[in-house]
Amino acid sequence: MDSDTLKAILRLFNYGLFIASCSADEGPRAATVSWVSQVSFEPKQIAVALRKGTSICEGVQKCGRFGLHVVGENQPELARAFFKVSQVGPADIAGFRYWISPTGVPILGAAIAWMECEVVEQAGHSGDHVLFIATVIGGDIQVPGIRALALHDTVWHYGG
Amino acid sequence: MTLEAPIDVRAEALRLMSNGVYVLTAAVADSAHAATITWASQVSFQPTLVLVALRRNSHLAQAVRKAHRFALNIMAEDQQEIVSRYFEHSTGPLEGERGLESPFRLTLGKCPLLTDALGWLECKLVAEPTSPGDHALMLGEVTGAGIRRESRPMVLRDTPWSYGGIRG
Repeated sequence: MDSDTLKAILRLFNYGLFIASCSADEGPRAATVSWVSQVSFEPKQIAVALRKGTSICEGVQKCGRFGLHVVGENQPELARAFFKVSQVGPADIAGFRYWISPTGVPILGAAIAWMECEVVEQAGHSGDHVLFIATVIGGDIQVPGIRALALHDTVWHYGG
Repeated sequence: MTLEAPIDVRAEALRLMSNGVYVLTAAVADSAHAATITWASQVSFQPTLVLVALRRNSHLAQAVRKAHRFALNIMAEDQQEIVSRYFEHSTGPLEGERGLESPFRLTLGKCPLLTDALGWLECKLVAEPTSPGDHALMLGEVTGAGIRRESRPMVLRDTPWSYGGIRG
């Protein structure tokens, strides 16, 4: 199997764009992720793969809870703002305002929707990402009627 | 607003996810098995791992467990008719390569590949991570892959169907 073919095929998979967030001692952390899928109806659960050794991955491992924000199709700049380690201000991360949910998760006001997730399992240890299985314990649609940004509709890719 | 959020708000948020649409195939003894799925994601670059979530105790999950391998057939955006034939679990004889709802070809590793698909990944089942949910999680290491033609892949949200968030 040649690696260019494999890369091309893995890039045929579609994903949304999401901002994962968590709290750490020094303040909130947030990063753009795309390897996300729902994995259970009841209880409502999702799987998220976060690259090992990144601050978001270590933060989620430490606090066991995270926020997952859906980027709207009109918001590519929101996704782009969290590709790299973000500057945190007194009330913003990378220039986007946030609030802290009652369970301690930073929630970005700009995202079209968010979910608050509690980690129930970690898997995928043979790979280069940690696979978090998490129950969705809360969430809200902040901007109704907007479709989610799909990786296929952007110039970016992550698979391969 | 958070813990008290009505269940349908979480479901609505979950339905904003825009996965692709795939037909998962496997072979057990003399039979081919196939069904449409959407909950699939790459989860590692090196090694190349993919995760699929299959309804717990389904015929498909049992078939993957027995086969220890499976293929993900990537369907094109204009293949809704073929995809809908696999909404219900399909099974039939391997012999003749006509036992499913559309033609297939058997790989050397004994995985049926749908010849109509625009591409495929063949995976070895490496783990079934524990999960308290209503779907079994299957972690596959990619052992083979191919593209048959250039076309746009199907994305669930561009179809009349949904699977995330709520049943149905």
